[in-house]
Amino acid sequence: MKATLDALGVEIDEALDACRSDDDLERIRIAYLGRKGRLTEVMRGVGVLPAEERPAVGELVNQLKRRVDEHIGALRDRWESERRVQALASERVDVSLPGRVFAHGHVHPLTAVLDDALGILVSLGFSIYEGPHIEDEHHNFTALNIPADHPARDMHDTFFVDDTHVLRTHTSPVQIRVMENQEPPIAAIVPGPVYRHEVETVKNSAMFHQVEGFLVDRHVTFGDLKGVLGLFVQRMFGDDTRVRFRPSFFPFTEPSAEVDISCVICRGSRKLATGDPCRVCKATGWLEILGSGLIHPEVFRAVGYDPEKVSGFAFGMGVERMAMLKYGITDIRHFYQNDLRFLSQF
Amino acid sequence: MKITLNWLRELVDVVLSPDELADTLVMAGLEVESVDERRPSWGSVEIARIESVQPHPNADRLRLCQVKRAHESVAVVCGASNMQAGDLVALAVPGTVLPDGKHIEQATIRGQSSHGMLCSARELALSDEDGGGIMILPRDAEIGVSLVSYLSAEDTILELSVTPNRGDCLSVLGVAREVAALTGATLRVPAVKIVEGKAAAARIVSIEVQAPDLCSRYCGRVVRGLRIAPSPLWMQTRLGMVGLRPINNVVDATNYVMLERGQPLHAFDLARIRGARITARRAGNRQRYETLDGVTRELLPDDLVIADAEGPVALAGVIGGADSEIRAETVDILLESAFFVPETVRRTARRLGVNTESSYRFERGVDPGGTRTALDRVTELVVAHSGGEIARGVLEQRAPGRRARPAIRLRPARVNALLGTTFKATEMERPLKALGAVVSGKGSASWRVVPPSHRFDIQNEVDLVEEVARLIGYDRVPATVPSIVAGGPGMGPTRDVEQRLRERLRSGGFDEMVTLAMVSAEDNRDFPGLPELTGRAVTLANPLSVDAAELRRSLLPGMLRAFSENRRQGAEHVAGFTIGRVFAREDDRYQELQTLALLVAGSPPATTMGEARRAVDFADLKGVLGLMFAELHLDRVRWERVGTEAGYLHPGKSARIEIGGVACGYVGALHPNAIAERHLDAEPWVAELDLMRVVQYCPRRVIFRPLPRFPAVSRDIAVVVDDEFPAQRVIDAVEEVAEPLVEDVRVFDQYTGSPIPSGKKSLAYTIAYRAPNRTLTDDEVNAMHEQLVARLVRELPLEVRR
Repeated sequence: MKATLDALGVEIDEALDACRSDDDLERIRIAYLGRKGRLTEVMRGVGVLPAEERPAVGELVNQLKRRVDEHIGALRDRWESERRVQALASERVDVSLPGRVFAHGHVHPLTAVLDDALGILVSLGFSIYEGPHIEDEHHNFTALNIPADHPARDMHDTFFVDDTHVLRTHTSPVQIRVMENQEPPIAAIVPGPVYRHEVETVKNSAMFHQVEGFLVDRHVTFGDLKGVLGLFVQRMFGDDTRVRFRPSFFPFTEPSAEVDISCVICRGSRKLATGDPCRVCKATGWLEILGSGLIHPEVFRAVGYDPEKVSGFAFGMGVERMAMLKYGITDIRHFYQNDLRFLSQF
Repeated sequence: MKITLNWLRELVDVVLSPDELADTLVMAGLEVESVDERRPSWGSVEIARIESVQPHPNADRLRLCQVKRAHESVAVVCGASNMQAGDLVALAVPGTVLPDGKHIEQATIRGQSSHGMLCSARELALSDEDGGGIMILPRDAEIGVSLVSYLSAEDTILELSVTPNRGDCLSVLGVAREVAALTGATLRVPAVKIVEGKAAAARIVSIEVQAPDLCSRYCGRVVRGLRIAPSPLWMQTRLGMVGLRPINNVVDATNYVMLERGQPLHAFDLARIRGARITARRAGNRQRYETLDGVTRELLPDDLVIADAEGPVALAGVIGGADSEIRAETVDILLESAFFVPETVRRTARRLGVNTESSYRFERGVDPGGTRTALDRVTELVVAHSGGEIARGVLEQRAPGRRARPAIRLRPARVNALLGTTFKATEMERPLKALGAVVSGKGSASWRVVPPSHRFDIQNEVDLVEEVARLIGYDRVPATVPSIVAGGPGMGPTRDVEQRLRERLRSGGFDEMVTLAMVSAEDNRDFPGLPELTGRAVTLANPLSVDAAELRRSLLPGMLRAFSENRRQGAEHVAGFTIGRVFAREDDRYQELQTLALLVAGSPPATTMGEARRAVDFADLKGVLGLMFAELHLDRVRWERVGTEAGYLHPGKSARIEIGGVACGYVGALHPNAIAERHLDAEPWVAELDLMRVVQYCPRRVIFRPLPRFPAVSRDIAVVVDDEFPAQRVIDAVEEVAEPLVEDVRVFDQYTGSPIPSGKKSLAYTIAYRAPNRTLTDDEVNAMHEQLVARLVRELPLEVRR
């Protein structure tokens, strides 16, 4: 029996040494260790041996089986690792080829700037309100202290829809609508398109966008206006942005102030790195960005508020202007032409 | 408005540099648009006197002049012949560079040495015209003085942008007042000196104001026997610098004083005033009238005119008449200085589309206290430059009942309360006094302030608050950040939804676009928009062009324009969306809807190299809208075939989107007719939705569903149906059964072709079954599925494929 086993062991070793593929290996495994394999048969034969011989022979058979199992496993592992080394040596992707294209659209630059502005103002406690684009003259002009036959109407080239309705020339009529509908305190912002009867040029469009904001409460001061707009401008244009307030005129505010920020291009130095004068700020170092002021008592009277009891400030800015400054766009018409070569840059 | 620094310096001391002055004015609310320094290259041209003029010995056309300079006498060869001994002339000494770049050297001309050149006005770029030879200067010119300083030709021009409330700043005097108030310098307005003759003006012409409500003061002076000629060169130079064309010595004087004092003035040729009578009255009836710009204009009965015995001679404050304008042969004139009510001037000027320096100032208001001084000032200049005799007396009529200005109450505490400052009373008083206001009652909490007559814009307390803040400086107001405690919707539901769907559409490959609200009538006819827009199109009363005559009913024309422009630029694929208002008018009510439009056309970019390009189809649009609805958690969305309500869409390739059973928008391929009319080279798929309805159906909150604990089992079913059969019908039928164990049903395949007979198609669905409390057995599911299939076969025109 032992001789038989030894001979079988030698035979198996020879077969395994000659074996070169996984398939051959599997064939060998089945031939010797399969259900009808030679070694399996030998193991079965152990059962018929006399009881006293069985343990020793059984042990020999098991040893052989273990040895063969290990041999097969080792061969498999060796080949597997050889293959992995080969694969590592040969598998390559060209990482310079383009990736798979996922559809992606672009934010319109006006939306990007507007969302920034609204986000800042909402975080400061303002709420968004909207109003009609077709306005009556009362809300667009008269209630805002712009009477008929007043030169201030020259500041607004107006589209008329009928004798008493216009396309709103600014977002300020929504101030009136909001105040007509509720009592102070009010902290409101009004974004949206406005319309001016202006021929389209590099600088002008018959439709453009504004954001208006106003705060009405007891004891709102001009200092508060300066504080809130200073904060807004720094968050919008960067912490190092300087801001200045200079007197101006709007019929619906008094005192009125134009708000300038230090030029976003030359950082207020009036000159470019090349030494040439900065053209964006016309070498003044400042850019006009906002109109503002304390709400005029006449406006409060128009909505039934008592100007002795409440005060407030209002401000407004052009979204196009901010976007043009932010992105260096010099022609306002790009915003409405929707050229994909333009849109895809944002 | 332009002014010059030298001119300003005549009225106030300016110690600041031009840039500092500009900064000071800007920070006080007078915007300075530009600072333009004029420094002529010919600074060395000086005034000299001709001592003798001889013919040039060697040239017929040249003259040999002996010219007296301050300290020597020199010989100059000259080509002109209009000078004679004693004339004062402009001598360009050797070393001078003329505006055209020519260098003047000492030279020998045909054997005669010449020490410079005698200049014409044109050679010094002072005039466009030749003037028939060299410049002969007036007698008041002084030998040796530089011509630049004599003419005030070296100057700095400030261009100011004056806000509509500050009509008082539309003059050199007005700006000088501001400078004085801001810098503490003293205003020095030179006194006017005139000498009247014997003849009484009132006997020459009479003045009457018949419309005192429109003209509260009218003053006139008569000058007779003057000679019309060009104005002195210094005045021409100065007018030119501020952008006014010199005309003659009378008209220039009226313009000059208007710029200096802010009071518009007018000169009439007295010989052409019929009936020796001037009346300020309403036109009275419609009539046609020729103004001095040669245009015949129509007057309305309420227009204020200045008339003689027979008819209008000027449109008050707007423009003079052609008949009575000053001509070369004019010898007697009537000078007018008046206060016309701003509104009447503005109405007439607006209606006629005339904007003159005069109307511009009257509209913004002129100093009612300055009417008479301006008249005397212009008379002074006219006589100085044109000669003539001033008739005795001022012709004047004022509206009755004009009283002194009422005082304005000013509470110093209120100033600090509004500004958020702690200014002391003395600090507030200083700027008011600097303005020329009279302040009384200073001991009390409520002052009484009377502003000067030229500050008619200061009407109430808050105007004074601004003046105090402005003159002390806005930079002195400390910035404070209030804690804002106000109710309100915050971002608000609509904005929130808009922002989310913008993001989702972008992530679906759509670019955001912005289109203009004005469209053509044809656009509105072809694209009437959503059915909710029941009214007719809104037309503009004053459109900029026929292409922009109406307000859009639909966002689609704008999107189609963007599409075709991009195709023209070579774009293969256009996918865009826009959010905007659309408009209609129903009786006297206007409708405005916030809508969303999408457009996709062309062939989408291949996702990988080598992938075949395909044309956009319905699934692209439905897919991206599905993405959007999913973002908004809208699950009750249905896509229905369109009837006739969207004629701009292809009837077989379009759908109505319903949310919660309500139509919210339309989707589909553009109708072939519209494609042809717009010459489009690809079939665009478009959609338009009513955003407010979408927002309305968005669930307010999302509620978590517990995760299933037991597995789902699915069964497929394939059916053969007519081509026309919508896939949704099977889904609807399954859902109608309302079997609680059916979790989901969806279509996953559509097939036509062999072996399916033509006119038919095969649809494949998968149905998922799940119980919440146990694992379903195969037998259970099979039984349920068989029952369901049997029901479908019974109820729907379909055959089950086995």
